[in-house]
Amino acid sequence: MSTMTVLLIILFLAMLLAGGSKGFVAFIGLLCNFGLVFMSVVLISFGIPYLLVTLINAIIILVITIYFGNEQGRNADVAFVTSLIVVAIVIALIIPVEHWAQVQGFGPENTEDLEGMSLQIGVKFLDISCAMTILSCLGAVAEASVAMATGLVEIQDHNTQISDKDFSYIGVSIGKEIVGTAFNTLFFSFYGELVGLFIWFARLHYSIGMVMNDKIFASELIMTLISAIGVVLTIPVTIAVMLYLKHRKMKKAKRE
Amino acid sequence: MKRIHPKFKIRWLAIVLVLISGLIVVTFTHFDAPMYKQTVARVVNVHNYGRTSQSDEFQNHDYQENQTLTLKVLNGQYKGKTITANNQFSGSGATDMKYHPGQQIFIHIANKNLKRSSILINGFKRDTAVVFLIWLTVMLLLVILKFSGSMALLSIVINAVLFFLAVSIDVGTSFNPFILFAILSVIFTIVTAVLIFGVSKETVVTISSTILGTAVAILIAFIVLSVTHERGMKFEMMDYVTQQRLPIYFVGCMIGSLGAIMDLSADITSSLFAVYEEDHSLSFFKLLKNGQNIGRSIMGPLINVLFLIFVAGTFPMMVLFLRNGNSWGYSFSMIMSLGIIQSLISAIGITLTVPITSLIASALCEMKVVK
Repeated sequence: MSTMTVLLIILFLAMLLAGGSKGFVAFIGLLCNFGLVFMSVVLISFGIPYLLVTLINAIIILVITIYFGNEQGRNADVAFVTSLIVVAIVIALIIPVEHWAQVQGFGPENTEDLEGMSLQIGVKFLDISCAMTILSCLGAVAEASVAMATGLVEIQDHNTQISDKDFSYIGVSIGKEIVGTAFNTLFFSFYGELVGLFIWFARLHYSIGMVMNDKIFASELIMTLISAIGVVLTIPVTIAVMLYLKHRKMKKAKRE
Repeated sequence: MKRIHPKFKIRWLAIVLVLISGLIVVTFTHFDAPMYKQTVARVVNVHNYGRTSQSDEFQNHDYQENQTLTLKVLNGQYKGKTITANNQFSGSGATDMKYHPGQQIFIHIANKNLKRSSILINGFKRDTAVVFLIWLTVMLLLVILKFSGSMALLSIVINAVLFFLAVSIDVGTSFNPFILFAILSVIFTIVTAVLIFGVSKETVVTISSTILGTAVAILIAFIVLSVTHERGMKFEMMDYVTQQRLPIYFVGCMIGSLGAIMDLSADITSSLFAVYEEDHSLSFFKLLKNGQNIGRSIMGPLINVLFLIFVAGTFPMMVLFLRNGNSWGYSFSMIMSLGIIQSLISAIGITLTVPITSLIASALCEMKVVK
């Protein structure tokens, strides 16, 4: 058996052990997400417009991540609407930043891997970079908005008379803890992914200026920062979505 | 009220200061050419020569175009001189790019005669874009969270310094890289947990279960890799290799999953202690079950965070491979397998952290360590 198969079986057993039926559903969700990501890259390589592929798959990935293995209810709905809004804002930021920073394709550090390959493939690497950045932030945005929504729905249910101002205040204080831990998740995975590259930089005595302008470093840092911005934005967006829903409900109640 | 009022004002003043300082930093990087050792030049004018169609043996249709750039040198001994350089780029832009007036680039001047043939374009200057995005992140964090966001920032800065130190030690000495970065991971965990959660019993539980969870994941990975003889793992495809591959791969898995594992164990610990505080009569098994319940709803989304980051990172290479006439299966095994195995190892770590943290936290409650 290959290493991947054995690890996959171990993960499946571990998720069953730790999460029971919920763990099973989460495992299936993970497999579905893999299928979607793989399909995205194949479709993009066919030359289908990246934004179309990414948008459709992003929405499906958000549905799977938020509704699989979670209590389905008001908090999941709030989390889903929040992530859609945040992802839309983030995409509006990703496209100009990727065009500005020009971090598409491969850097000089990749030269060895590119030997013998045809680089003129008729697909814009800038588009691929945008697709990659959009998909990579989905997990972080979904995770943060589920955590925010779960906390805030609980507060609204426990305290129906809470004023908008107090509600926002509590929302921000819940958000503070979520951001603290989510930033660690993002930045540690950034270090983990680039440890080889950092050692390369150190061995070849790159200056700080060279690192800041390095294509691969800049590309990965932009991916991490975009995810971080997505996480921070879930705080005000969740609060706004919940207040909007509350006021709409109150208006309806008044009319009746 | 009187005491709260000025406090609020100070916060806004600070935010305005951050805004101004950010603008200064961003503007500064736009004009920082004199600080670079490499020659920096600004593109003043561009002349394009029109596209030439290209197609390769895999029926990929692309184009190539030549352009002549008029450059103004911004630093070094040729500062202020106007020179011209040639650039060739393709439609896909894998390793090249089209330049536009106003952009800044790094060049190498090979000959004092400053002829077109002696000017080599080394790369694009992207520090302004990077610094802008860093500044935007910090701004949003401070505006939305006021200054409670500063602890998250502080932990990132301290961890970056520690990481830099570890990399320097790795490069400068022949110390075993795996042990070096394992020590770093322990320090990372302690520093981050103390900064974000403060000094408390919760923090101690979080630290110990994070370290234990990560260690178990790496141990399992090590055993599986040895037993299966790394079958199907394409270590020859690993990027940026300057030393032994396997230890660095394990280091990547270890550090990469540390943050997510810490996130999970902190969530479980704080909820479990809160539950115990409300009802001291809860038995060990009730608490354990409670911890498992909290953990199982968070672990799925957390695994997805890392999975999407690790797998999306392989996109450019995947598309290149697929377009170079390789089958889906071959491209997957060559390009994606290392990233997938890395996310599987992290996922195993995250999953096992649920029972580990629940056990430690419930045991502490049972032993009446927590009051």
